[in-house]
Amino acid sequence: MRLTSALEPTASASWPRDYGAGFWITLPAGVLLAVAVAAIFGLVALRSTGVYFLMITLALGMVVWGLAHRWVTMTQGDNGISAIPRPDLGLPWSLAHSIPFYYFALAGFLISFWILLVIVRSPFGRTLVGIRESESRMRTLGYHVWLHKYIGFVIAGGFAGFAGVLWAYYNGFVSPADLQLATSVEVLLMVALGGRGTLLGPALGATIIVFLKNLVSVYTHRWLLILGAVYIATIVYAPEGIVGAVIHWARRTRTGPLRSEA
Amino acid sequence: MNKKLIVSLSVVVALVMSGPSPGRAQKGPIKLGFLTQMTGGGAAVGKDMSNGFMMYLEEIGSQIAGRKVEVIIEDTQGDPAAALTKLRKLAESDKVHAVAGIFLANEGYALAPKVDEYQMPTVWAVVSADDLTQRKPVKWAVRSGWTSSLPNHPFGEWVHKSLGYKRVVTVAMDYAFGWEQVGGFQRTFEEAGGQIVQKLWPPLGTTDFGPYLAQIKRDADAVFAVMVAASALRFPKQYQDAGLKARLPLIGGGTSFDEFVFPSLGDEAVGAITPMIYSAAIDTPVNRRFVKEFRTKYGKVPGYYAEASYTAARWINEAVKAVGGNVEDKEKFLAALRRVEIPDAPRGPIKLDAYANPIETVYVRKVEKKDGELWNTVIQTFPAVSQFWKYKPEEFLKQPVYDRNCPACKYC
Repeated sequence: MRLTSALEPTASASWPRDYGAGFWITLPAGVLLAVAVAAIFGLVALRSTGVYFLMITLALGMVVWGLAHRWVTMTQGDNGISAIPRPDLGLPWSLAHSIPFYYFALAGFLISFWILLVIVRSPFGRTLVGIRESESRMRTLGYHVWLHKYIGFVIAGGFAGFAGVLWAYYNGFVSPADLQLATSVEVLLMVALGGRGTLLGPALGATIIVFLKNLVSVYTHRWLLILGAVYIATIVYAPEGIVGAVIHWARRTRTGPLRSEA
Repeated sequence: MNKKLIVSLSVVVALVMSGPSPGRAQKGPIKLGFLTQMTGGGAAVGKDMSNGFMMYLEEIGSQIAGRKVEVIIEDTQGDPAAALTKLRKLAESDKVHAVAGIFLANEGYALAPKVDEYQMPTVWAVVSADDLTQRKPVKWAVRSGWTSSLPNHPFGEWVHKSLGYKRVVTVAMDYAFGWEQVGGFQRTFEEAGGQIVQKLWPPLGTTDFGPYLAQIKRDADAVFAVMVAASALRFPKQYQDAGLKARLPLIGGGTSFDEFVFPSLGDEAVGAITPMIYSAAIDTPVNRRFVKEFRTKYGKVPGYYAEASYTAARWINEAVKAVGGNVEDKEKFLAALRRVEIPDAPRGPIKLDAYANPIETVYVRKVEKKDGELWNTVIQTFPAVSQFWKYKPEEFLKQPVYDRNCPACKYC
């Protein structure tokens, strides 16, 4: 899912510029491409679990990076694809300006969040939570564990693809730098920092990291030091991430029946 | 939205027109944004760039045409997407009057369309991607630096004629800058009768050159290397350790042996010959003073990154003075930026061609050790070199921009 998030902007980037494809073509094209790639990568990656699964997805990410770097006719190589126009949706506001585009992206985020929430609360989502808690138990209960994980992986790919479409339009530019290992790891860190196994956690983690990168770097060129300190503090004091820690604390003090699935 | 914009614009215009402009108290500071890499592999380069830029502004007391100058230095993190975020911030929240700096080719190509969108007067100080002043010109930008292939056009010819090398292997960083440097060299070197017999492309950020060094054809006459930032620190040592220095002379692009890496290099660098638009060893009063002052201030010999940024600050100074400090009139300010001519920069005389790229001196330099320090001794100069070298601009621009396979490697 992490790799596809960066893979798919290439298509949504070059198509509007070179073929004049509009948003309503690049959006489904981007999402479908991401789903297709996740479907293929899932077959490879899901043969393993835990750390090995992680390493394989990162390795596949490097493969895609290498492809983006070398397939110059498609991706322009390291120069990247620039001058991607913002989409014209026929709305009364032009998305070329920052603020309308912000609300556009926010709407996209809220819709995605709501769909994910529905998925998590569905029987399918409950099964995934069950698998996370104990794979062997779910297998014993008769669930097709691999298939559930695979579908989960592909769904994640689709949402990552959607994020990629927005990213390409936001910057008007994509390049292999969006695919490099550091970018993939950054997404992982966002999840770890915010709290894995929650929906709110990664959003919170992303907010904090983007905030540190873009705002703290304005005030000090030692911002990486602060970012590193935040990671270490998280690992030491909140290994479950910030949201995870809050849920733990809430459970301990019995303030409410908070569940870890949201 | 547009209607609203027009209304607010006309309000602004009306206010400006009605205001008692002459003799009025000054309009507040001139704000400049400086974009460079302050973290990661290129951080040392970024530091040299911002030092050079700030040194010039301090020399003029941070004042131009009676207005104070404020500089906001932003870290692009060596990532084009981050560079875009920072440009957006400079334009939308800081509302700077001009932007300068920029290091990597991919950052330049990423920023170019946004520079025009924001109508942000921009001075490309270091970024040398050819097409920014060739096939994809940017209306709102001028270049005070150079194009990647510019110094290598005269150098390619010279290497064949003066050094007598016939077969050369190239090892260059695998991105636009490396492609364009190799392309410029290959074109004139082969036109003069030489042959490029092998092209190797380690990716940007390569730390171990072993696999590439092992492949180098040992029957060549020389190796042409293009290294940037951190790779320039590592390559010469590994080249020597592989036993190649004694067998194949090392030549290359100017950034491979920029002064900024010299404090970290030793004898392995001695003898390397590279062309560049600058050398700290240029023996003119202006340059001697520049080197001395930079050394006193920052404790190191300035390289081209420092000189280019220093001169970019001067470039802005000249343009702001030409419009009497009225940088708010963007069109006039841009026109002034395009008209700047500097006859006595540390690197020598500079003026722009019709494509907003400098015509400047190219120095062929040889690394030598003097009093225990490495210097780029100038062994040949080519005055007034244009980005099109001896070719007609129209014909030059009909060819595609240099890339990994252009010109093709006919003798590989």
